[in-house]
Amino acid sequence: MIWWMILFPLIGAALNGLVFRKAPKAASHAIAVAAMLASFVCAALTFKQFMEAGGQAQVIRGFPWISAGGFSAPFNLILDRLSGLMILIVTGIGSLIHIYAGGYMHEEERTSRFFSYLNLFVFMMLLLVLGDNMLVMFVGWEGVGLCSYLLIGYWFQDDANAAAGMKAFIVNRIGDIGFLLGIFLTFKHFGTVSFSELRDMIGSGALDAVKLGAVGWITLCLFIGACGKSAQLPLYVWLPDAMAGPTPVSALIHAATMVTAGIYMMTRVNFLYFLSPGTMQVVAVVGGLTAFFAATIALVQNDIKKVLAYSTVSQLGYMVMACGVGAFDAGVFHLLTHACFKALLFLGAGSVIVAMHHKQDMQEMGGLRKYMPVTHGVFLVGVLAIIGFPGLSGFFSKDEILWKTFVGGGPLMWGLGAVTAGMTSFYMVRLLCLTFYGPNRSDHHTREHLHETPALMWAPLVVLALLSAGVGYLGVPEVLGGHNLFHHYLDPVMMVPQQAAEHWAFMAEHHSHSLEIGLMAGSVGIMFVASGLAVALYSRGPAAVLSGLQSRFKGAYDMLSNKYYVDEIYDAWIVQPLRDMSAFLWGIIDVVVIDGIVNGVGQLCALAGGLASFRMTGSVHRHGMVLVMGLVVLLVVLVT
Amino acid sequence: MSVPVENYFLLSSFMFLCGLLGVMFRRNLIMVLMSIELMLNAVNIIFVAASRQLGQVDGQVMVLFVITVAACEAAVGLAMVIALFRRYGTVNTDFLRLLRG
Amino acid sequence: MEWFNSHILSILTFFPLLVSAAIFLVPGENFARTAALGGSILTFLFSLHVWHYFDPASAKLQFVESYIWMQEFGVRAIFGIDGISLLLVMLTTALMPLVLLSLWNSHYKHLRQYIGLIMALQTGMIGALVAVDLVFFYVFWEAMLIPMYFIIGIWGGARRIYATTKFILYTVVGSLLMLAAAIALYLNYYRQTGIYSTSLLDLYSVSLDPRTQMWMFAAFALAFAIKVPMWPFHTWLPDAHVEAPTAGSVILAGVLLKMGTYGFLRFAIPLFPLALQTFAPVLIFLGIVGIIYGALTAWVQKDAKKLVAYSSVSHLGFVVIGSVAILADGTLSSEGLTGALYQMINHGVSTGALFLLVGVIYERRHTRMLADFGGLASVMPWFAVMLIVATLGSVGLPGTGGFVGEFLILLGTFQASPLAGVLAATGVLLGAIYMLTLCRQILFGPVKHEENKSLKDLTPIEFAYLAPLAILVIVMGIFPDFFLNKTRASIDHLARNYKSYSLGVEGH
Repeated sequence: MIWWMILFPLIGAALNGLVFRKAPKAASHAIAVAAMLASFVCAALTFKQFMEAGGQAQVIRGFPWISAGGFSAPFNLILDRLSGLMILIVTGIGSLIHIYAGGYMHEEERTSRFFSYLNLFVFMMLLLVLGDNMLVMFVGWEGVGLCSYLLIGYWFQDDANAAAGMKAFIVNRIGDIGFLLGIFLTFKHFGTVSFSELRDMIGSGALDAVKLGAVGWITLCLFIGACGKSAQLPLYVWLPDAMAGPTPVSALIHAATMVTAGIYMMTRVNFLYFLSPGTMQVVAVVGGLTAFFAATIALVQNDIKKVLAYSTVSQLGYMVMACGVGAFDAGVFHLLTHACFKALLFLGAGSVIVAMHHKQDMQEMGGLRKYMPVTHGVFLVGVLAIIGFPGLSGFFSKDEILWKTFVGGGPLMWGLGAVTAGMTSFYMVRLLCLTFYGPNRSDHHTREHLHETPALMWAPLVVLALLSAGVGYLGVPEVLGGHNLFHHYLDPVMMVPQQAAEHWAFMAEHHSHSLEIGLMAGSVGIMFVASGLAVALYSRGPAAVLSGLQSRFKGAYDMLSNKYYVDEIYDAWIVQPLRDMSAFLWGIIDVVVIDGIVNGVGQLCALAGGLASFRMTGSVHRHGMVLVMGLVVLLVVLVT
Repeated sequence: MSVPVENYFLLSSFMFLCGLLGVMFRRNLIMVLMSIELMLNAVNIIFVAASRQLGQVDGQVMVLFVITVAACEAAVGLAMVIALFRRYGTVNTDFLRLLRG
Repeated sequence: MEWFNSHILSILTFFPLLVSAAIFLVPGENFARTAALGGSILTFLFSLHVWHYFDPASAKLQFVESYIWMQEFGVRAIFGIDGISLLLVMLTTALMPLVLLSLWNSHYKHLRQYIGLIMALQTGMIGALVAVDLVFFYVFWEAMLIPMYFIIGIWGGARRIYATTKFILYTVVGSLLMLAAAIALYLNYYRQTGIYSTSLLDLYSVSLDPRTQMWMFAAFALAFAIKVPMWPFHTWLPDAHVEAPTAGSVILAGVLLKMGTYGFLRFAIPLFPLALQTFAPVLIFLGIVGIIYGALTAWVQKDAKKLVAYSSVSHLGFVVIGSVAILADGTLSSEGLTGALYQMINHGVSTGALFLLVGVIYERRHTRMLADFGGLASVMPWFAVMLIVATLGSVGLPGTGGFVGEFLILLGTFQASPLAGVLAATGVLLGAIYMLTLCRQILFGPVKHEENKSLKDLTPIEFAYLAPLAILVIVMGIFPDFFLNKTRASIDHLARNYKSYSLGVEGH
């Protein structure tokens, strides 16, 4: 069953990519959706069986894959509560996005290539979440990177898209080197790269100082990998550019699934992270800073997808911060809710973009509520969910992160998170107002064609909206009278060491419930204030006061709207020098120095030969005479 | 009646010298080839004479070898001369100086 | 059958030479094409026979044949195959039919002679891999040069004479030193045992003092380093590749370069283990410089073929460091060695495919400059598929063979020296940079040039020789154990016992 779940998307990809390359749009869409639905059914059944069997982790044996010397990495899968949840997210949300994509790609001539990549992505993502050892996970890890590369550059006729795809792949590869080094270190010190074996090894006994030190390095290296894939500082630069791909791709890959792989991976090896408090601190700080940093950029972006992209970076920062303070379960919970509402937001934005004839600038939108009522409705749910409106999913998951950050990371980290939450509310409400409210600012031609999208597109959105609203109730915090089903759901996956567990228990006792409720109220208050501000400024289109603000704080505004010039700095300080050095190595070292020596030796020989050849007249007789004279001399010497 | 072996030696030396001088001073490649042939035959004579004198058959065996080699050499040499003539229109060695350094 | 099994290696070696002779004797290009393709396929079938009957559990030499050649000098023609040479022989025999297929519709002048030389070259390559005797190895090693000299020199590009002369002189300098060292080794063996022998099976037992070993190792290593080619002896490679015709490039990159790394595994390491201890850091250093240097220079190339050529320098740097990773306990890293061997095969397959692909567009446009292309993915979709698969294999994406090789090499290197592992791992990143640059400039973006708009996609024949390579790239990544099982015993034997190496003979 589980193998079929993995194979269906692969079969779909092969059918679309290799066999029916010239298939009409409807056929390729049908193949892809059928593959996804089949996979989703398998995933649901697998999950059901798994939970009925008690929900204990099981390793599913595959085939021997790589083995050499003392190293072996069989192609085994691990099914536990974490991967069980992930396969549901991947196939479930994946199916919805596949259905939607049929409508979104309607204007394309052929879509078999697109759906083939999309199915291949799901296959790779399933490998990533199900791999029982680091190497199988790495296959999925780079495999999703490949699909991301191909899909970002899907409209490759435009050079910028191809460049964005390449940037994504290469920046990810920097992280992947970290991941690889993590694997090497793990093997060097533990002799295995299997998650289940590692877990048993760590669980069974105390580690000596050397291994403990190694764990610190391992987790740090793996975190570099996570930074690449989950777009954390300083490797986040690829994600905003990745918006060059078709919007369903942004929803599936760059919001709901692939970018969360870093959080998933850290949770998968949480037993290692718990052993290295130093790394945890780094993780928490990087996560918090990323969340804050990306949110500031999102405040002033005008491209609807760019706002969502920076918002994704920021939310991923939240999740990473949660992991860093030891609240892996809160991170995964936010992953789940974020997958629902961010997919919804991206797809909603996609509908808007289709309606606007592929214009993405919010300054030309406005008042779309009239024209696209359904899209407006679901989008509103999405926005309310992400800003943490009480009762919707984002509220539960974000507050859980904030609360645990306060407990595990201290008030300073909490403050960072809370300010970020305020900014999130501001830019999301700003996006909502600029797009759906106020007067319509588009040109006449566009306005004439504004219309609601077909049911093929809005139906998945409605499902996602329901999920965004409801999925949070899996994790209602105990303080609000819930049971926090989710928290205990992941308990078997976590391996909280004694010391940390005591810390959490102590903190839980130490802080009264009123503090938790107080913090919650505080963040809700911040949310309302920030949203109110955004409504005031943007509900009738950009308010007049804004241009005044922009010119007064011109430096800050330019800084933000140019994304802190990070891309330019990377280009000027890293890429260009490297390129210049390469040109030097080739042009000077290779061609002039090394080849100069080689050719020099050759010319030296030719010169010596030329000098020695002045006696060579080319006359056979002269040669013959010299020969005979030599013979005579030889004879004389021999005889006497 | 037997001719003294010294006569054969003298004859052979004379022939060899003729051949050697021919190789060294003739300009025509055909003549050079014939001179080489002459030298080979001079050696043959000495071989046979010595063989007879010493009562051993080795020398005569060697002569057979030499004749074979000489035949090959003549064939190849003449072929090359013809090829040269076709290419350059001359077999005069003064004009064939490809080996000049 | 019995007779066949006991002579299979000489059949495998000399059958292509027979075909070559037939091609030279019988006029007519059609005969040449058919005979060469048929002959090379038959050779491949012979090698499959060897693969099938090869006993993977044994580290000994198998299918051994031994003929006396020069009794009093101890020179014997010994052929044998073990897990290390088996994979390389398979690579050679598998590549040849594809290379010949790529010539099926070509319009070279003197095509018959060209094909004949390629077949003769195959004998040299297989011979060098199966010869277990220094003299015969040397003969085959040098014999490979002669056809290659003509292939580049006659059918090459504008600067072909310069390139081919450079190639030959570079290689010959190395191999002459190797010859001198080999003779010294031979005399040392005689001094110690009173018997003349050039057989490796005997020479492995020579005990030399460290100083002598250093000199001999240096001589052998230089010959192999030039062939590999390692930095800074690599400058013949870009020239040779750029000037060589497509088939020549494929064979050169696919097989000939591996002779250098194979030489390390078969000769330099087990013959002079003490010297290896001294030289390993040097080799690792040069390997790492090669990886980074090759990758960076590849990045700035404007000629597609030159880019691929420099990428070979980078890839083979990986192979070298994997071969000489000495662990703390003094043994070689088994993982590194396995990876090195596997990477040789991968490089043969993926770089072979890349050269063929560059050949495909060169044939259509008569240019290889990256700036002359762009947007080909929309005109030639199947070409794009093949190029992307070959690229992925080359950058070592998991799921392709390149990953297995690079991963094992880096793993082994990292165990031996974490610093070297980290430095070499940057090659993984740089590889992605230059290969994706290549892809992007050829495939993506708008179709800038009018001539490119009407390019034809792959013909059935082009498809027929590219598809097997593309499939192989992926199969080797998903089922590496199928290949590695055959080599495991030999590799482990070499890794553990290289200090007192000996090769047994199966069935004796």
